[in-house]
Amino acid sequence: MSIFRAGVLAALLAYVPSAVFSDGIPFAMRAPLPQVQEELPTLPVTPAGFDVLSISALPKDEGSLLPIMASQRAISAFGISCKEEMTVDVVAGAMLSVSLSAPCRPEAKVVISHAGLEFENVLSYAGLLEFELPALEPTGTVEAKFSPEQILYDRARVADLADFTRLAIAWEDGAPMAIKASAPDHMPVSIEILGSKGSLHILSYQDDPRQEPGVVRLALEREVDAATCAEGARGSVLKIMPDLPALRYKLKVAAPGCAQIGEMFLLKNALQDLKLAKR
Amino acid sequence: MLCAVLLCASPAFAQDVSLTSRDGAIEIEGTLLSYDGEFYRVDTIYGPLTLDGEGVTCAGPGCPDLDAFIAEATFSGTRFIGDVLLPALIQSFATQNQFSVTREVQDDAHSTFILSDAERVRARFALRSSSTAEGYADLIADAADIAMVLREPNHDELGLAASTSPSPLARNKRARVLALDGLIAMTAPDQPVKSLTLEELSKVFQGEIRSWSDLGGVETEIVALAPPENTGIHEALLSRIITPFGRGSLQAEQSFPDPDDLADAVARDASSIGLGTLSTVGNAVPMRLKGACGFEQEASVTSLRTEDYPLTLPLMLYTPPRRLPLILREFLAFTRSPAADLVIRRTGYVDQAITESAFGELGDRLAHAIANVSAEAPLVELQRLVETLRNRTRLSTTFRFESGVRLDVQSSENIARLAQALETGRFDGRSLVFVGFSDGQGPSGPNKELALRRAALVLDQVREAAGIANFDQIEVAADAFGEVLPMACDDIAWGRSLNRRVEVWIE
Repeated sequence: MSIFRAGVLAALLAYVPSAVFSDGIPFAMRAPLPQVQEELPTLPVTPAGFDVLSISALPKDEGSLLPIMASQRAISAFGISCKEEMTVDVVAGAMLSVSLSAPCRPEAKVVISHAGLEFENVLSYAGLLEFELPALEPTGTVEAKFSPEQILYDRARVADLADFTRLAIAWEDGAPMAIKASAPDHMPVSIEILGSKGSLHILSYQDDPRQEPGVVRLALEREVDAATCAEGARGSVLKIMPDLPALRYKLKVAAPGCAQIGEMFLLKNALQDLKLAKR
Repeated sequence: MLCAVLLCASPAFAQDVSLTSRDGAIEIEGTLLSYDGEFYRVDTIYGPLTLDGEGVTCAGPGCPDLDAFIAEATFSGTRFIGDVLLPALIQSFATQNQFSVTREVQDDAHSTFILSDAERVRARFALRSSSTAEGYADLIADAADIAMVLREPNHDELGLAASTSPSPLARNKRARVLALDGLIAMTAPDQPVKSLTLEELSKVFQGEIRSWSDLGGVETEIVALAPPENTGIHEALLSRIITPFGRGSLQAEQSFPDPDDLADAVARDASSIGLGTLSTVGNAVPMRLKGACGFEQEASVTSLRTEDYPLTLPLMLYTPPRRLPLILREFLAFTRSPAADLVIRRTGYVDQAITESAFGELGDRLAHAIANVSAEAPLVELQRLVETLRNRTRLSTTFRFESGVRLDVQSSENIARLAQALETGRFDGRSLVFVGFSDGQGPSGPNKELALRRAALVLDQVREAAGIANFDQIEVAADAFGEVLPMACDDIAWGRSLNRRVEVWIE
């Protein structure tokens, strides 16, 4: 029955079966080659001057393949090139927008330097880091250091920095203290805290010649807890003011003492108040 | 003679150094008190002696390491200098001399500035902010090298100092003016009453005026805030605002040890009035002082420099009559420089730079003089004044007197400042006229004579102080116009005090 039906079907379809062998075992049936030569499709034309890499064009020497193999290795877990780069752009308010990409350094620590102040940051799992930094010097130079030999840098000129008063403290050791500012309503100040350990504190005030005179009280404060009550702090201070040379010094703050646990440790005279005189 | 005395120094005296002259002829033993990089100060059985390090060799466990000398100095005294002004001046001095600075903050009243060059630490300046009295006490106890003060030492302090030998306080004036400030009454910006008389102010802080309506404002109770007792600022307020009106103590609803806290409290509360200084006014507003005759005095940079504001407050450094380390002497010299003047202005104080203002800026003063022409202040004398001064400018340097012909402390400093300017040739080729004015009490003839005598006296003192100035290049003269151009009302003591003055006009 089945042989008969196969023969009928074969006759109807002019189908000539042929056996395909794999390791001597009949495996499948395949169609015969067409009897009529079909016209080939038109291939796209390669533009002049455009080289298409052909495997056959590769040199036979295996050593010359190393660069290609190396470039294949310099790809992150996300398939992105390991190329490391940092860009710095100026944005409104004399801020530096910093974008750092090191895809093959997931969660790596990096030390960011600007205007002689340093703070530590950590890249994301994808090896990316983006933040905005109040500029502290007009060339807007930012460095990112992974190691003493591996440093990225970029810069962007900050044209309107002369309109700003800024006070920055980069805490290097001990328990960092925060800048506390008490400003009248007409003197808005902002305070940025940067770094994975919150070690860079920058107070910023935009000078306005039409501004009414006033005083912004500045103090340093931190909550005293059992872990850090015996710890002081050490840092670098940079103050920039319109029409005046930058002021730079080291600041060491004594430990509050463990009798003050639970209280706020406040230093009102460690920083000079910001005074805006009448123009 | 000295040699013989020194050689007799008893070896039994507790000593840790032995200083021997280069030729071996003199040997001094004692306890080293200090070494300033140049001079040894040694406590001997004859008392403290100062010896030039160049002339002696040092032996003993107390000898300093000459190559690692660090100048140490302690400033102690009023927080009106120690909190803001002195730290800013030290920072600026360090920057100018290319020292790097580390500030060690112990607490709000104590900090230390460490000045280093590329090689090592060169100086440590310690600051103790408290009060004028504490500053003098530390100086007497040898716990400070320089006192930050708002007044000269008082009788008790001089007496106490005299019991030590040598006395760290001298009867001759050793306080030098660092910067100027002004005692003020302050209110919140939205308080409509902007001026009052000194007597009204005194009554407010005696509890005799209790409502703003008594000062021309609305019916609201006055909340009086003041600095605490036993501070230099309290003493100054008492002696210059309260005592002149015959009363004994200063009363306030609340006292604030921190002048910034006081100013902030005033700025927040429109019903409050505070006593403080112009440098610490913060976001409060200084009140003008008025007199019955219509003059109003405002505390400002110009009025404090010219001492035309009645409550000018000189901020002073008191140096003991002994040698100070070289770097400290350099710092003190820096505080009189134009660079320091800039820092002083930036920190909210008033510097003593010599500035000029045109005749036209007399404004109200001239109008007032014209309106009050009388037999005692005749028009012809006023016309002579206009003729003499109209093409000249007035220097901010003005001289006022404590009593008779004795200059006050700010004016004494002005003598030195003007003399220095003359010596540096700033006024070469120009003409300076020292113009005396008097108050309006008594007959005009003697008043004018006294004014001329004061003008001549000031001119003499300036000439003497400006020893190396070339007076062939500078024309100087003294003149006087008596009472024709008052600064303030003559019906009150402080007004008369302002009117007794010597101005300097330049062409």
